Amino acid sequence: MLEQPLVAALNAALGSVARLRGAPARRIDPERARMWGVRDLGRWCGSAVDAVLGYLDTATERSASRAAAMRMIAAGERRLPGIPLFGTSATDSTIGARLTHPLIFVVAFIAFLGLSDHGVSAFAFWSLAASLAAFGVGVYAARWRLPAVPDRAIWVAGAGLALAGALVPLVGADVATKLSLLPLAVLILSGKTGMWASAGAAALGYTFFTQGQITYGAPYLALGVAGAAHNYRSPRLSGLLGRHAAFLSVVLMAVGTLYWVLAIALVGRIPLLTTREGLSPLFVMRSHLLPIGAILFISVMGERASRQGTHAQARTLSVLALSFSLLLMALLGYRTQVLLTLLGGIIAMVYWQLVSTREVIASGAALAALFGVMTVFRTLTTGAHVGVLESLSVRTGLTLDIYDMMASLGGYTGFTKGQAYLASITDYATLMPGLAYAPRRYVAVYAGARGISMTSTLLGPLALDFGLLGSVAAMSLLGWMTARTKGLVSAVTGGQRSIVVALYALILAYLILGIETGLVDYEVLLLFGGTFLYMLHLRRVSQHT
Amino acid sequence: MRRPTVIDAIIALILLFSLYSFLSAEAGVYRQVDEYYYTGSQIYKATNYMAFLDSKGFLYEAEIRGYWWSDYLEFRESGYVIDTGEGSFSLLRTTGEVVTIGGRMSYKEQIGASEIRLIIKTSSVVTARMYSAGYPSFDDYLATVRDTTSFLDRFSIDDVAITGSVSFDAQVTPSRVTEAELEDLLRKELYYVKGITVSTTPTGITLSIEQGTLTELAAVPALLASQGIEMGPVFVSDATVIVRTLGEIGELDKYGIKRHIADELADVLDADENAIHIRL
Repeated sequence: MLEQPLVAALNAALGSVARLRGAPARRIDPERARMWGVRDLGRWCGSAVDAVLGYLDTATERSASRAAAMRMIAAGERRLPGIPLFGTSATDSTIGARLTHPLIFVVAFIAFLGLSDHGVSAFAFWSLAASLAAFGVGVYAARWRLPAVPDRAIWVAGAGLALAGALVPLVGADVATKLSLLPLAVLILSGKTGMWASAGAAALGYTFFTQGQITYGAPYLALGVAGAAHNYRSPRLSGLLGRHAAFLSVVLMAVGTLYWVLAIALVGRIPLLTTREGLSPLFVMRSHLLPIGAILFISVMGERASRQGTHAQARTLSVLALSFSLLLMALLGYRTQVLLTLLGGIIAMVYWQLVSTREVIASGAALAALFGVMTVFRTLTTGAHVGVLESLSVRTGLTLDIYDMMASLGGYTGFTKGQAYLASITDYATLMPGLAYAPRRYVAVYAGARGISMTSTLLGPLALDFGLLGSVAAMSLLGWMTARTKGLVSAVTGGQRSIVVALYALILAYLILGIETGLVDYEVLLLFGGTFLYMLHLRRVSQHT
Repeated sequence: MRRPTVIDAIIALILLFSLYSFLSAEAGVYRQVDEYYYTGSQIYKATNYMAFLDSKGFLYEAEIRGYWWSDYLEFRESGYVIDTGEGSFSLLRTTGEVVTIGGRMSYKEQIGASEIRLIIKTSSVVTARMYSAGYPSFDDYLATVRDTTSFLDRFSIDDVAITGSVSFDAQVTPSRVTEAELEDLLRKELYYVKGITVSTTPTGITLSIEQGTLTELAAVPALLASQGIEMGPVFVSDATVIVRTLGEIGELDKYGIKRHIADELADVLDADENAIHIRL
């Protein structure tokens, strides 16, 4: 029964693309699709994925590399002296809990606004206020449990989807695509049709995408992939990751360190003491696996300590991992990665009671001092004669001015309709010749500069691409995702919990750091996307186990 | 000892892949585009790009297809662009004549172009400031420039161009007519030179050269001698030296070049990091 609507939808998509291109349409034969048996194929795929994951689980368990990593961790726990806690655990105090609450992002954003030495336009102000309020609403909405989709709604949604398809000749593909998203979302959220609707949406999105119709393909593909993560109920994947979280953290750190060495070897100098010019972006991006691995390692240590009561040893190993990652990232000259490591590491340590309130405050001061010292280093190497405080104030003011321009340009519904974010993928950036080879460069072009990159706060690219409405929607989704991930911590156990804590620490740290720089880097978008999918999947798994 | 599993194999593959990507990394060497094509309607785009190439010091030739507005006969020639304006440019023909070229709808210029092709001849450019100094002769000056920049030979130097003033003593009566005659002579005889102006004073002559290549400038003493002017010892102002290479200079080579200038050539060239420009 499912073959016919699926094949019809794919044929309609191929037909409309062919019409747009003025080329003959390629069609899928419904008879052949029936012969395959889509339902059986789906079941077979599900079992195959489970079998592969089961095999990988066993292979990891028996692997020599995992055994070596675990031996190394055990030796560290056994031989290294434990560091006692200075003061009471941060988790016991309200300060610790508040510092790691998702709404700390809003507090940090308001503090950032306060650093500027001048104001913004009325429209930019209301856009900022509405977007931050939307984040708060998203955080609050994460407490709500989505109601189950009744069977009646499936038929209504199916009819809505068919109606949207039928409306294509009348209202055009653009409007019809938007109209179809709501009934599609209902079908995806339904327990009965969820996986099939997700697979269909993903297939449709992929078809459009590969035919160059990104505007139509992206929403379907995003909805399909998110739906698949939401509807994939097998605990195999999360179980595999959870069981081997410690090994995964060591692998991430090792690969990150390896690429750090290669990045330095390629330029033959320490970038912090000279300049970052000439560093291979690919190697640097891969070396950023080190802070991610270090934060996961801290979380894993915290989880082990909570089970075995080895807090002092876990603190020692966590501090070592944190210091190692901090040192290497600092030598590479990337302030953001240094601050991410420090901020993410502290959030993870607060969660696992590996740090006291006093230590959190001391780390905060160290964070500010480190930022200051690195700014001084950068001003020395670049030859700019500006003081630290003046530099902060001017930078904040400039960033807000650029946001002002982007908000004004984007208006209510956006100006560039997703192109700024698309520019984070190098291959797609070339779709806009002469304009953008990276999102911040794209923003700079619209701010009147060429050949340089400019930051416009986290909301700048959102405002430019999707306008005020898009900013509000995206911020509420971000708030919902952050709070939902935090809420998931108490819903899972063991290694899965350590992964969720690490992911939460990473996204909260990136959110705070992204206030100024924006969340537009490819690796950061991948991290947020991955966290979103893992959160959806894990929540579904935790509900069914 | 455990038997290796597929996970160990994956880890080994990651290791091998990272080593391979390191060994095959080109350290950011750009692929040079060596030809640009514009239609006559894109004249503004073309002249903007010419101005960009001129400001960076790249050497390029222009191949033009169009019509003489005087008699609508076809014009199809290659030449050297010596000046660019808003929607028009001056082309030095191989005969030494200079013609003005505009777009398809132009009327002020001599030629309306329907196709413009820019052929870039240089892969990379190193620009530095050479300190002013006196030399026993003009040839000595050219030899000094050549020697100073010879450390870039490993990138296959195509030619070296200079922008600056050369003054020398000469028995000449200051006259605008003499200046114009000499400028006309030099303009007609020197090809890869953007501009050359002559000013006469009671004590001598000053040549102001814009992006003149050493190969072309070597002919200057003989050309002046044909007019009865002998070039004796010369004084050269602070000059911009533009080294044009056929080989591509890599991103990492930039640091080595700047370091070499700072360590070895600081008494001849301005070694300040911001005074040396390397265009890839």
